[in-house]
Amino acid sequence: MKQRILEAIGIIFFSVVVALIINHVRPEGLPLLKADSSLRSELSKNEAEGGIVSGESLLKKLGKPGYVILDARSPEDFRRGHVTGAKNIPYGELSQEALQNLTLLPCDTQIITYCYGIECSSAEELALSLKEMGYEDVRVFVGGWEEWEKNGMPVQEK
Amino acid sequence: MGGMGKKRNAGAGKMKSRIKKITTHPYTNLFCRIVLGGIFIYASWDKILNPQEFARLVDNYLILPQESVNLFAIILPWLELVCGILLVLGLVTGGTSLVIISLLTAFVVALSSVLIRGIDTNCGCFSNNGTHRINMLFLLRDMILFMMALQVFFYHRNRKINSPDNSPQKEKLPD
Repeated sequence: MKQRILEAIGIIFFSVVVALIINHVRPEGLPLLKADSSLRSELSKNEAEGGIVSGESLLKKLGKPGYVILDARSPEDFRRGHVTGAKNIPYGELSQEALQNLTLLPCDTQIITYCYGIECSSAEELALSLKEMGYEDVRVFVGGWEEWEKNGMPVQEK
Repeated sequence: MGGMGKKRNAGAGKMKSRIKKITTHPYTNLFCRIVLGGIFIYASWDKILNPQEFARLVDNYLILPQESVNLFAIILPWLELVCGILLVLGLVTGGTSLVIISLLTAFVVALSSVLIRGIDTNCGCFSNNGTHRINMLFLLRDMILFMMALQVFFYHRNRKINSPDNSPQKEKLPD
């Protein structure tokens, strides 16, 4: 058993060295320590209650009442195609009109935000802004437009 | 009645020895090694190609501290790949199966924790882009892989114990 443990430690050590060297060399390598994002941790407080939504769950919700989908991408991309029934609220351009439309919604409305895909952060940032505005049930569809389109889910064009 | 009981016991014993024979057969071991190794290689590939997406999925599990998410997302896929290759090639199988057993135990704990806390996220087990949220089938799959890893672990241990090098008779042989 002692020999096996030593072998296991050797395998782990070898993998760690290879992983770190390759991560250092490749252009898309990640920083070793991820900076704590206050946005993310703020949103995480709600995740235990379902703060993140998968494409499958969102598909099931379509056509049912009690929720609003917000697309945080640019208006041009939104016009080319978006999740059926979504409204466009480009993050960073929270216009007065958009804010007015949002304030008409009751605070307990479930709001689902999304952006381009897993790597964009505007959906999370929009979700956080909405939470600060007092909306209790804000969720993020992490896979975003990329996942939605890739899986051939219902799309609307404008 | 007593005769019936003896027959039943004999039947159970036969069944037990048959199961033991199958689980300790060299072909079963070869099957487990190749399948498990292949699955680990396949599982590592997308994660290695898209480390950012994988890091995001790891973050969604809400288990690791934020600071360590990237480090974990960098190392885990390579550990899976190295273990997969070693298993397929049949090299250092004892240590490799021990690492795989530890990894699968951690995966089962992580998946259970996600299910219990009701977190709605993708597994990220094989591909970063799946749309299926974590459910009980994921746990079942990991349990099956766990059993295969145990087979590899115990097969090589038993073979080592039963090998002529370790037999007491050899010790008695005169020089």
